[in-house]
Amino acid sequence: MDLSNKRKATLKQLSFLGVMCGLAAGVWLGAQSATGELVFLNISPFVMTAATVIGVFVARWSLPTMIKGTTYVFTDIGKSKHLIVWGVLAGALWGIASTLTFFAIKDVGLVVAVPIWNSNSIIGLIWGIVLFNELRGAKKKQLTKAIGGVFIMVIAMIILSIATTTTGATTGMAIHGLLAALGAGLLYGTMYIPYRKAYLSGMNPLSFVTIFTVGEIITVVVIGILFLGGSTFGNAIITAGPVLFWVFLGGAIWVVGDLFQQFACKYIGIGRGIPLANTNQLWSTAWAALVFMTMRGFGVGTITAIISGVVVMVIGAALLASAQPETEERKFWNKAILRECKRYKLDKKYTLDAVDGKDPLGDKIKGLRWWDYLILVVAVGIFAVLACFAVIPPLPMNPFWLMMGIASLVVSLVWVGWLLKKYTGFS
Amino acid sequence: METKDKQNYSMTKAILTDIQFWIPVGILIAGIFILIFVSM
Repeated sequence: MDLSNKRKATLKQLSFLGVMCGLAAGVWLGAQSATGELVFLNISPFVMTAATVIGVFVARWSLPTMIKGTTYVFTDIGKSKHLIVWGVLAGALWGIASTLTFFAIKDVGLVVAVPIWNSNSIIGLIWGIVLFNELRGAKKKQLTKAIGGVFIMVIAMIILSIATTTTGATTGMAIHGLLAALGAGLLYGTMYIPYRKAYLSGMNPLSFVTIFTVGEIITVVVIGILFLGGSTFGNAIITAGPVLFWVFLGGAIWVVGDLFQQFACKYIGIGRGIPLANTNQLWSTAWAALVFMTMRGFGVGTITAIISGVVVMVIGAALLASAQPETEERKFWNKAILRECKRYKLDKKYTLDAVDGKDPLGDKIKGLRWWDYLILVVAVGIFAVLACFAVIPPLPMNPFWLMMGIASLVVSLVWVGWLLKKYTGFS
Repeated sequence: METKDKQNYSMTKAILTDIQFWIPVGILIAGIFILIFVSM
C-alpha cells in the first residue's frame, strides 16, 4: 500500500471511529436523561443542575482517570494553556443553557421548548462551516447527505418531542419561555466552538473535559447561590440526600456520553458529530417507554407519531453516518488547524499528529501514579457513601427492558472504547 | 527565528484578538441577560 492510500485508509478509520463515538454518545446521553425518572423528590431546577454537575465532576475523576492518568492530562493542558479559557467558557455556556431549559419548560412547556432548543445541532453545523471549514471542499453528494441529515434529525427530534411530552402546567409567560428556549439552543450550539477549537489544537478530549467540568461547576454554583441564596442552596442540596445518588449516577453516565461526544467532534467535526449524539432522544424515548413504562395508555395516534419519529431519526443518522469527511474536505480542516498553530504558537507536527489520532504525548508519559489510584478511591468512595443513603424510588420498571438498557450501555462502552484504544490509544 | 517569535508571543493578546473567542463570549453574555430577564 503506498503512502497516499495508507493515509486515506487511516482517515477512513478515523471517520468511522467518529461516527461510532457519536452513536455511542447518543446511547449514554439518552440513558442520562432517563435517570431523571429516578428523582422522585421535588427539587429546585438550580439544585438539580448543580447536583448533576457535582456528580459529573466527581465521576470525571473515576473511570476517565484510569485511562490516561493525571500526569498525562495536566501535561497535555500545559501544552495548550490558552484552551483553559476555552474549556471554562464552554462549561459556563453549558451551565447557563441548562438553567434556561428549566425556565423554558416552566413557562411554555416541554412540547414547545424542547424542539426549539434542539435546534442546537443546526447552530453547531453553522459554526462548523463558518469557523472551522467543515464541509468545505466536500462533494455535492456528501454535502447533501450531511446537511440533509442534520435537518432530518431536527425534524425527528421535533416529532418525538411533541409525541412524547405533555405540556403540563405552565406559567403562560410565553415570551419568557420562548426566549429561554431560544437562548438555550443558541448557547448549547455555541458551546461546540470551544470543543472544536480544542481538537483542532491537538488536545486530548480527556483533558478538555477536565477543564470543562471546572467551568460547569463554577457556573452552576454561582448561579445557584445568586438565585437562591447561599444557605438555601446548601440546605437544598443536603435535603436532596435520598436522591443524590441517582442524580450523581446521571452525572456519571453523562460524563461517559460527553466523552464519546467529544471524540466524535474530534474525528468527524461538530457539524456531523453533534446531530449523531442527538440520537440520545431516541434512547431516552426507549428508556421511558420500555423500562419505565411511562407511555402506557397512549393512543394509536401518539404511538404512530413516536414510531414515525424514530424511523425519521434513524434515516437522518444513517445519512450523517454515510457523509464522512473525505480527503478534499480534510485539506480545509488542515487550514483551520494551521490557523490555530500560527495564532497560539503550537508545534505543527505535534498538533497534526494528535489530530490524526496519534498520541505523541502518550509515547512520553505512560502509566498511572499512586495518586491516580487515590483519586479513584476517593471518587468511587463518594458514590458508595451516597449509595448508602439512596432510597429506591417507588417506580414500576420492566426488568427485561432494564437489563436490555444496561446491556446497550455496556456493549457500546466496550465496543467503542475498544475501537478508540485500537485506532488512537484514547488520543 | 522561531525562538524570537515565541518570545514575542502573548497568550492573552492571542486570545483577545481571536474573533472566535468573542462569539461564545458574546453569546454567553446574551444568555446571562436572558436568564436574568426570564427569572424576573
